[in-house]
Amino acid sequence: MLIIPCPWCGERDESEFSYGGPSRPLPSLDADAAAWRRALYVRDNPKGWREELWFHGFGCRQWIVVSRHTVSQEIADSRPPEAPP
Amino acid sequence: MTAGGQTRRLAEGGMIDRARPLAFAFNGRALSGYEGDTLASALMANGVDVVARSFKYHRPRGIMTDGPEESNAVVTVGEGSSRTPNLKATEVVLHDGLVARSQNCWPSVDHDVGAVAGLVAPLLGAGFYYKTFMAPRGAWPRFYERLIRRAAGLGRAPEGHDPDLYEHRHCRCDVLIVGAGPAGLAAARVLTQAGLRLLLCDERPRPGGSLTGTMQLIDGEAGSAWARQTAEDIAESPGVSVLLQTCAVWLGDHRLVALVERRRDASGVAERFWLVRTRHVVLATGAIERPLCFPGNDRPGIMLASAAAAYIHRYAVVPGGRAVIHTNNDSGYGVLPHLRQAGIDVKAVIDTRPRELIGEAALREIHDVDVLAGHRIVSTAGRHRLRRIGVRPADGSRRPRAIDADLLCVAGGWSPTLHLLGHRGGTIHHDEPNAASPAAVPGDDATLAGAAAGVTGLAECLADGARVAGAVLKALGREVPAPRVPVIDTESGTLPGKPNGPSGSTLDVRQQRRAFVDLQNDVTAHDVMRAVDEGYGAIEHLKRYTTSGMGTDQGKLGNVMTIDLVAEATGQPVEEVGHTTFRPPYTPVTLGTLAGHARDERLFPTRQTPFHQRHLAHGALMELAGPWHYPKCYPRDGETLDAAVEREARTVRSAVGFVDMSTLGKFEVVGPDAGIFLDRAYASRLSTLAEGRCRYVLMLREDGVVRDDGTVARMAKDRWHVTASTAHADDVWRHLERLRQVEWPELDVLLADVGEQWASLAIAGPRARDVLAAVLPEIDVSPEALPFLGCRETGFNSARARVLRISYSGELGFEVYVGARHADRLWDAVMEAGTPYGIAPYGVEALDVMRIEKGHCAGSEFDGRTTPAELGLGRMIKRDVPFLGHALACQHSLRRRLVGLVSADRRAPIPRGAILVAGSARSRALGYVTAAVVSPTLGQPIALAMLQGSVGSDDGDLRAVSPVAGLDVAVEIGALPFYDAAGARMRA
Repeated sequence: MLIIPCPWCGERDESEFSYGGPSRPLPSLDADAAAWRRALYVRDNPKGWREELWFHGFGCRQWIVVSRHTVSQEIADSRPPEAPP
Repeated sequence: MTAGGQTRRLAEGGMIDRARPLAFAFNGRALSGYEGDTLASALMANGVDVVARSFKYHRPRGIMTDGPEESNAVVTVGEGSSRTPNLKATEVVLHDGLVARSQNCWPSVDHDVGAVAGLVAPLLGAGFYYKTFMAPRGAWPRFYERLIRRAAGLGRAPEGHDPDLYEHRHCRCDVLIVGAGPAGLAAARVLTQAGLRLLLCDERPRPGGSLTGTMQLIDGEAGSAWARQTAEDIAESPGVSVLLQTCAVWLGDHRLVALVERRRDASGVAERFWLVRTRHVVLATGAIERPLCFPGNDRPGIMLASAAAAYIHRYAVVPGGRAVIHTNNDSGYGVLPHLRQAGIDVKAVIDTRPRELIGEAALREIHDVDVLAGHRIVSTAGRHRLRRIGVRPADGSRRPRAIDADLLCVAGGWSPTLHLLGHRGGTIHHDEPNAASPAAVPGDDATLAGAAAGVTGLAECLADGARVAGAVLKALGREVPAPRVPVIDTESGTLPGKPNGPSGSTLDVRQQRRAFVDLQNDVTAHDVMRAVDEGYGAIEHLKRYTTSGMGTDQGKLGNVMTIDLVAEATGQPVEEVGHTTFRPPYTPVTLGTLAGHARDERLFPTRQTPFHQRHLAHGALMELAGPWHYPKCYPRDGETLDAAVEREARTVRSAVGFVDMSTLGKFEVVGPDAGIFLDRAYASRLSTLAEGRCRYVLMLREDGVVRDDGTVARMAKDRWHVTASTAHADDVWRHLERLRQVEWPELDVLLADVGEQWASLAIAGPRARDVLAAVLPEIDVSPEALPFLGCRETGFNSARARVLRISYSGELGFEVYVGARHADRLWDAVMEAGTPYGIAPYGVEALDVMRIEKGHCAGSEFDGRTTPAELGLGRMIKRDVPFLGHALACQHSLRRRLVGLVSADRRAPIPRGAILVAGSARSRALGYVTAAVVSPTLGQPIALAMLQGSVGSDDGDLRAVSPVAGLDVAVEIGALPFYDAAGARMRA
């Protein structure tokens, strides 16, 4: 089980969070079906560092962006979603 | 030797308490042992040779080891609901009154009918199941499955309610040391000096690990005494805990370690599950000795050399009378002085190596024992106990000779115990022939110490433990104290355990059939060779094909032998064959331990609505729906459940009823951009909704499938009241927050989850308006002032209230919201106002009946697979403004559609969850029933179903088949909704 550093609450156990998948920009709402299909189904599955979304539901109830290594499970840092990486 | 049946017990020595005899039963025989015994040592002391039968061939098996690596002596302990199958006798601590039984045998372990399987062993080789039970296909359910089920499985599961107590504990510490052997104790000594919060655990009841079986003196003391004293000193330091009989079973991410404490203490807790989050882990898990592969290597009386020494020292048990040692390395010679001390006659040492490879220290131990260098064992004999061994030079230069012996100590080298590291994703490779050692440790938070790191020798392990402790202190930024290194007497030096001779190579085919690599699953060298011949050369494939290493011992003994054989058969170097993956748990964990307190009424946290006490006072039959306690119906005196549901539905349709809606998700959406936000989040146009109006809405996923339904009410210009279905409330909340925080942070909008702040009742029925007028006298509830889909905010007894005119039942209906603490007053007011009209509360069953009559969708239709068009809700999709899910919602083809069903004879109930077929029951499924009831209003069974788009009402011959319920009902497609198609009643 991971320890996730929440930018608002500090280090917390993974059980306080829900996973939200990789952090990636969604197409605009009026984009065509092909663009949405690509965004939803054609995804990278990197062996290494990846930015992903977690929801701190049993804490501050904020969505955060976490940088996690998919093999070693190391977590480099986390930030609020609106802050630039 | 002592009396009392313990014929193999030495008069002195061992770490048992002879003043505390314990009575126990094995296979119905009354036996005795002492405090400090394991079940295995007590059985051995009583002269019990055959402890279990093997899984496949039912061969007699004895005790091979003194630890968790045991693959033979697997027993069932306890009776009835306390029965625990598949325990290793070597791990079971003896207590007074213990009852144990052999497994895998009938009628008894000494005379087992199943042993005839051994006669047809050549037919039961690798992949037997895959090859034998293939065809004909029709034989599967009737014959093969029954046969396999009877033969498969180890032991019998307990029956009834488990009376034992289990506990979970969570703790944090600076350093966790796994293993209280020499390296673990040495590391703990250094770390306690630094004042760290420390946890030291060991799976055995006593600290010391290999020290409890050594003849060397440490600081002038016997190893076991030194270990005990050191552990006591450590435990006295502040912030330090020593947990014995506590096995580390899992090393998780970010230094979370699971421990299972199997110590029965005064608290009455049978097993305790620990989750330890630590800053650093030291794995001083030691090493496990390997057996050797030779024909007949499974007979009772054959055991690991280290185990033989351990039984003599730990339990004062003589494992045999006439011993032979079989080894491929120097460490095997180390057992000689132990055997001599116990008065055992050592007949010979059979070494697979030529004499020049035998170390000098080893040769010094020999004295007058016959050493057969370059020999190997070609056969063993003895039905229930080893009697004779056949030996022959490896080059075949001489004929085999026989040696009489009842104890064979095998020493195949040592495998570091790296299982925990494997859980963390560490890769393991072999350096020297046959010795596994770690190649990579992911992260820098777990450190190996002592024999687990491949270090051999007592002095070396003690030094390594202190060194690792120093490194941990440095990593934690602490000062490293000068270590006190214990003084070892070097007279009896330890012997290196690196095997430099073959472990089982070049057996001919006849020998391979009786040479076991996995003793628990009866996998032989022949099976491994044959699997390689058949193309299963990759070690992970071979494991699954032969089942080698898949028993309850997880191949702790046999894996390396298997790898050696594969290397030999494929001509690859051992390190290229690789190692199968270690998976948690390290030793089997009972389900009771994993569940802990989470059972019965504490299975998961449950929730009550603000009306809970009122439900109970009205005699509600409560049921658990997800986490919610919710009324099913309110049966009156003598009323059956069906009658109550029917009465409640009739009351709503003919007069007025009310239902608790407080489980719905409720959100307050506020701000200048709230309308735009809702426009994008929901499939309906909401920004144009007038104040004081509400709307039924759908929320889609990005892929166009329905996520949830709900209502949105515009209470004021920039204030919206949004509800979500009970089951999806949390998910919808997370989703809305994600949209606000991550996707559209530029919108000026605030969300608040107010689900627990509001209590709400839905009042429905032709007289609902009369009731509402009395309950909320401050507002005009006339159809002109509060039309269908209107909403108002008003006062209720000086508190704030909201009323939405929406209907789920299909009748004139109002949802009334008040603050949760005013719930009782609202209930009482509604009851009082409705009494003249015969008002009654109704439960979820009546609610379901009425929504099916109206063809309204609920959770069973919104199952995460259906699109709005399939549910007949396509008209709710707005085309003008884009919203989330819009692009793909219009792309789906109409695979299924929601239809109403009635049974063809208008009488037979339609089974819920039934499969829809046309013609015979064996035809392809055309759809499924999502919800079904017998409608009291229509007086006939009705159902909702998802049916393939191509099937029409004129296809005819449609049947709802439920193999589970054993029902097969002819159905017809009926028009939806079944009741009040024009919707005049709810618009009244």
